[in-house]
Amino acid sequence: MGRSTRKAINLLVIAVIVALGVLGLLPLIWLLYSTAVNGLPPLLEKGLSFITDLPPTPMSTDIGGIAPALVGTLISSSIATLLAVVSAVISSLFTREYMYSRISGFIEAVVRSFNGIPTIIVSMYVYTTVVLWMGEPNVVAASIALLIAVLPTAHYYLSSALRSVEERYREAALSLGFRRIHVLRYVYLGVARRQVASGILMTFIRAVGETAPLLFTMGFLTNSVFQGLNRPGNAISLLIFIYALSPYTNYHTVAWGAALLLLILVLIPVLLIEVLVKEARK
Amino acid sequence: MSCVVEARDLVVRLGGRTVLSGVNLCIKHNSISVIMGPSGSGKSTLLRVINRLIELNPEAEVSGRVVIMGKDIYEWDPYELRRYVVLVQQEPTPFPNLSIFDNVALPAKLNGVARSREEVEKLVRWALEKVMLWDEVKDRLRKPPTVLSGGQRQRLCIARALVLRPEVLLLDEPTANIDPANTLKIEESLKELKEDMTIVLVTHMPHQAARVGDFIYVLYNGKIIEEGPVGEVFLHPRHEVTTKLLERVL
Repeated sequence: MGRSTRKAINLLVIAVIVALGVLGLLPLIWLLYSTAVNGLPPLLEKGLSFITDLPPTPMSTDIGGIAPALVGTLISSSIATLLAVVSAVISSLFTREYMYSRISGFIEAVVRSFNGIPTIIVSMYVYTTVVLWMGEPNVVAASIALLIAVLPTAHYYLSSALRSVEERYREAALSLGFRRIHVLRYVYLGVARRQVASGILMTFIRAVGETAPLLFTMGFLTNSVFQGLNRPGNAISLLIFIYALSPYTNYHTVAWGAALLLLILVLIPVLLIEVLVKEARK
Repeated sequence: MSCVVEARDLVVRLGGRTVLSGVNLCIKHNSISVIMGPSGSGKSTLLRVINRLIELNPEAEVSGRVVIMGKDIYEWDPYELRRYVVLVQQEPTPFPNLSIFDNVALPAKLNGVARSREEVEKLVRWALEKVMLWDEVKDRLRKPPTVLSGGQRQRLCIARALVLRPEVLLLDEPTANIDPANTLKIEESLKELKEDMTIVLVTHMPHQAARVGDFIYVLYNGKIIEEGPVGEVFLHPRHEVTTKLLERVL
C-alpha cells in the first residue's frame, strides 16, 4: 500500500470519526438550541422579575414568574443533598474502611438496588408514609423523596472519591497515630476534596433535575413564594411538567423560561465540576 | 541492655502463607538495628507487626508475642502504640493536600505533642533541622510537598514522624528510591537521632547497614538466620545467605 493511499484512508477514518462524534452530539446541541430559543424570550421580557414574581393565572397577558418553584427547588434540593451527602460520607467511609466485610457488601447491594427503583415509586411510598401522616403534600416530604432518589448517586460519587485515595496515604496516616476520624478528615476528605466536591455537586444536580419524586409529595404552590417546610411548595421541574401539559399558551411560555433557568442551574455546577476535575488532575 | 522491642515465637500468616516463622528478637535501646534479607523474606511484615499496621490486612493471622517497652502490643491502644512506634514507609507519602509545614505539624497537633502555635512552630523547625531539610524549605513552608524532590519528600516524611518524639522509629527501606546525596543526609540524621530514640531500619544495602547499623538481623524465608553486632556479622558471616546478601548477590 502506497504512502498516498495510507494517507487517504487515514483522512477518511478521521472524517468518519468526526462525523459520528457530531452525530452523537446533535441531539444535545438541538436540545440546548431549542431550550434557548424558546426559553430566552420570557427571560428577556421579564428580566429578574421572572425569578421573583408569582406564576401567572391562566390566559393572563403577563407571564409572571417562577419564584415559588425556584425557592422550592433550592430548598428541597439543598435539604436532600445535605442529608444524602452526610449519609453517603458515613456509608462510603464504612465500605472503604471495611471493604471486605459482609456489611459493606450489604450496603453496596442496598445502594445498587435503590438506584434501580423507579423514582415514581419513591414518590408513592413517601406519599403513603409521610404525606398522609402530615396531612398534605409539603416541602419536607418532597425533600425526603428527593433524598431517597439521590442517595445512590451520592454514595456512588463519594465512595468513588474515597476509593481514589491511595492506600499508602491511609497507611501513612495510621502509622503516625491518626485515629480513624482523623484519617477521614485529613486523608480521605483532604486528599480527595475535589472529587468529594464534585460528588456533592453531582448529587445536587440530580436533585434539582428530579420530577417524579415530587409528583405526590411537593404539592403545587403558586399563590405565595414559600409557606414553610411543612406546607406545600413548588419546584421548577414540577412546574415545567404541569404547565407543559396545560392548554394555556402563557403557561407554555413560562415552562420554556423555567426550562432554560433549570438548564442554567444545572450547567453552573457542571462547569464547576469541570474546573475541580481539571484542578485535581494538575 | 533491656529490649525496647521484643518478639517471641512470632508467626505471621498472610492468606494462608507463612511469612514469618518463629521470629525471636530483642531490639536494644538507643541503637540502630538493621534488618536485611532478600525480597519476600518478611522484613516489611515484621515492621508492620511491631506497630500493628498488619491489622489492616484482613487475611493476616499473628501468633506469638511482641512486647514494646515492657507491654504486650495487644495491651496498647493501637493508635497510642503507633504514636510511640512510628513507621516510615519505603515510598515518600507526604499528604498532597497539606503544606510542607502542615505535613509536619499535623501529627504533632493531633497527638497532643504540641498545642500552642509557638510550640508547634518550634517542633516543626526542630524536626526539619534533624533531617537537614530546614535550610532547603524554610522559605517555602506554605507550599505543597509536590515542589520537593523525592529525597526531600522522604526526609519530610521522617521529620513528620520525628515530631511525635517516638520511642521507636521503624524505617522500611527509606532510601530505596532516592539519590545518594539524600541517602547520606538521611544516614547522618539517623546516627544523630539514635541518641534520642531506637531505630529499626530495613535495608537492602549492605554498605548502608555497615555505615549506620549497630546490630543486624538477617531474615530468610521468614526466619532470623543470623544476628549480632554489625561488625561481627559482616566480618564473620556464618550463613551462606548472609554472605550472598553482603555481596549483594541475593
